[in-house]
Amino acid sequence: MATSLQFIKSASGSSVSTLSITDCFNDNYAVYQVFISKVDITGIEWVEMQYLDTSGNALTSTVYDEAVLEMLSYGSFSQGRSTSRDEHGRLIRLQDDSDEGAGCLITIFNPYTSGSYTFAKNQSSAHTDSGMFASKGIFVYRGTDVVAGLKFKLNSLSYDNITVNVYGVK
Amino acid sequence: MSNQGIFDVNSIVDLKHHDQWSTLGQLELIETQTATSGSADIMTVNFESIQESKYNVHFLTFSEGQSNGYQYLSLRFGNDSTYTTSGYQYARQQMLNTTFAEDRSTSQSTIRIGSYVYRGENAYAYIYNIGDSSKYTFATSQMVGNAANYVGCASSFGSGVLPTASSFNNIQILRTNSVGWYGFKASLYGIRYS
Repeated sequence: MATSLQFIKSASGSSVSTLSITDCFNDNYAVYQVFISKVDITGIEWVEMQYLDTSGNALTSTVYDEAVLEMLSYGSFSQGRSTSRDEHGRLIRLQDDSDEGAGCLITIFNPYTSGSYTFAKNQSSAHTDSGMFASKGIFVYRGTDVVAGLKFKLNSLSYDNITVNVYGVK
Repeated sequence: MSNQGIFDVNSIVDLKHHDQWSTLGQLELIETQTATSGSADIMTVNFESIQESKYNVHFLTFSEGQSNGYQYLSLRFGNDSTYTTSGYQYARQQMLNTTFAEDRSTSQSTIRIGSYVYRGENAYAYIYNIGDSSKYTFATSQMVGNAANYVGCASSFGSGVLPTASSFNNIQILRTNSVGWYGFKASLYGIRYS
């Protein structure tokens, strides 16, 4: 029986500084789920995300806002808040020197609707040398462009490996 | 809609029209377990055919949980009916109608995915990499229920990890006190091509 979660696209990269998933959004769906579980870096950084236009170009205007609750198994929780960035900067806090992977679901609303903002929320679980570093975030891209794709990046490091799977919620 | 196992173009169009044509990436039901009101106290709900080599992400739902004793809804992972009972880490934000609080641990016998309630437990969790022997097994979850005996509300969201690079073929939902459930519905799904 068909269910409401429908596979759209997968993308992978090894030893890459960015991973782009072009044309993963369309007018068939208003809501998308993006899963990341195979991701590793050497070092410690946040996984960051930008949106792509229909030509595959990164949307870099400073209209990315976010509020993230950082939940640690080994210490007090903290808040990460930003407005007017040129990316969503706090998706997964990674420190994966031995390829542990992570768990992250990003839900994205209205990306392909021209004239509407693109909203997203996520929840992640990852591991650092100190213990589990998890996050729950809300995000808005205050651009009214048509958003057609995703780009995952890091601030200065490269991904050892990354795989991203995009599904539409019918 | 019936067919003879041979799909021509028109059959595919018809099956799609009836929402019966299987496509890639579906949320696929693996198993549902239920207990109805009046059953004996049930302490654990075990999923032991989870198809861990087929699905890298599992989606677990738990609803209508009813018990006579307060406890946290929790998760364990295991192999061949033997469950790991130490080394779990978690961090959760609890939200009750009376107060908010953080809950965290680096050394637990379970991953907590629920709040300290005993009636009206409803939760879901995503479980990542459980069948991958080179990765840790991660979980993210959210829960809502009654704070007390059908009074008030309790909710939480959080994440957990079993920081061991191992594969597991069992998932267990449990309460860690001596009072189990007399009612619940639990379902495990696989997210295909995850």
